Amino acid sequence: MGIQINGNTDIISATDGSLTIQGASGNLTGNLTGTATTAQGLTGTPNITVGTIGATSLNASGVVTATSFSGSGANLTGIGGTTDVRTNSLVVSGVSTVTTLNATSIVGTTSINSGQLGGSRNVIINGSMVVNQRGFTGSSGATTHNAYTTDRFYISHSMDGAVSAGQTTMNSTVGGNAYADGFNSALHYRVTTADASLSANQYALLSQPIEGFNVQGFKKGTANAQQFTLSFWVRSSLTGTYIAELYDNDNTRQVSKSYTIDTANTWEKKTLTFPADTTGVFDNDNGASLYVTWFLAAGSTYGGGTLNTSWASDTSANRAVGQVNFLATAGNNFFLTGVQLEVGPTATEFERRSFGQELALCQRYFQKSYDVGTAPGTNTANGRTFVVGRCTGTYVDYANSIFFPVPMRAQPTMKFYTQTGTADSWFNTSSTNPNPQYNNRSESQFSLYVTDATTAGQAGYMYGHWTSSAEL
Amino acid sequence: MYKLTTDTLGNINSVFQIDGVGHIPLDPANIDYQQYLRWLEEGNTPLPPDPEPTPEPLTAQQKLEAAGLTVEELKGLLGL
Repeated sequence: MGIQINGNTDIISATDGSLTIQGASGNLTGNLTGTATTAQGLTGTPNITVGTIGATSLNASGVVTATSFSGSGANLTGIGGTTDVRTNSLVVSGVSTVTTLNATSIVGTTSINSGQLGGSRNVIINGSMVVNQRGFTGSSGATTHNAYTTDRFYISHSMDGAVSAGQTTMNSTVGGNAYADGFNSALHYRVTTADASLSANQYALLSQPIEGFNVQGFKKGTANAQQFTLSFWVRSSLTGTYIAELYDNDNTRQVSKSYTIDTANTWEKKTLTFPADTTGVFDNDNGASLYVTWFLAAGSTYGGGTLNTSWASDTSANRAVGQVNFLATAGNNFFLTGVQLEVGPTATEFERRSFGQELALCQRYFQKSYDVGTAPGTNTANGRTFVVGRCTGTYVDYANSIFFPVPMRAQPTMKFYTQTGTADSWFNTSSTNPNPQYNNRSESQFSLYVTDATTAGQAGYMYGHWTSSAEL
Repeated sequence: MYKLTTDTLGNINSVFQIDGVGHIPLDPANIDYQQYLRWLEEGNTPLPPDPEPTPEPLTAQQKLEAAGLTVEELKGLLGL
């Protein structure tokens, strides 16, 4: 038998100030008001239904269920760092900072960092430097002005010194933090002959040109123009200020950002956010619209002004102000990998593509008959291409059309090699090893012929290697 | 130095850069062709295409074989 309090009975006095309800299912109903609002020592498994709490504090160590909760969210404090907050609906009207969002489903999301949700966020091709079809290495790299090195990256310079750029395979010693972040290859740029004193118009840089089709997401030149965020891993033997630049080739506009190599020979992750530009639309075509450039040296023609950190018409002197002269000492080494350029103000995790995907993207600009890992000009039978022809009296027309595995950006420049590596020559049955010529070509295929007056009416064949380049 | 090259119909269809990048198509989107055009604007002139080689004249025996005739058949035709 319990205690039931009804009617006008307002006060229960007990000598020790307590009220104890015992039993299997004791219910305490009605209003609990006044100053004695702290329910302490409730034990067992009672149901407590509270209509109104006239209190400033309600402490519960167990589950509190409420049909509504009102008041300032700022007063919802004291939730521990490892405590779950669970809800069927959480509406945040402003910006919320969440370090980790663990969700099984997200609905209604239209954008991440002002850009697309996923897939191909990175407009840089071969940012992890894994594709190296030309076979340049750190010890034997590309050296000439405007030469491509690891796929899609080229070197450009005007200087009295000499440089070499190629792919380096990383390990924990060479790769450091970049290797630990999952990058197994890097572009290695090194100075082989110093140029300690730059004249005004001398410079050196690394760059990747991007065709217009691939940069439309930045909405440049429109009212909805988006920011550009460039992130990359870099290691240099020379500390100091370096300049990265975005150059709008369609409208001759540019913007630069400086970054600092803090510690020599140590991998550092850099993130640079460039402003949006409401002036100058990128052409929507296969031409070079945007150059992403890492300066390594700049004479006063390119660095004598004030660094231009907002989009503006190209003023050469404002492009690379403050750039250290990386060419100053022979043996200087500069490494680059993990390059990503994306829409929005935030650098997201590097976008990992399969090797096959990355290779196919590169093959739009360069491909070859050789195996992927074999440098053009190598003496090898692997991949040599056979064509069969018929002599008409003045030439041998090789009927086979050779199709590219990936259609190229434009009709490519073709270079031919014999199996043993002699340039501008193929082996043929008359052993004259002529330089084949285009008979027909497109972005997808080519066919060949050779002039030959000695084998009228006869069939013949020839074979050799080729490269095709439709770089920007 | 550049040299013009032709297809099998004698139409100029590419430019060959000697000791250079190789065969360049006449495609305005090709950067090597763009560089060739700048080279032309500087007042340079490419080498002409190689002349078509003159076929060696056929021997009588080759003419017979081309006609599918033997010497005896030819004699028969001529009543010899």
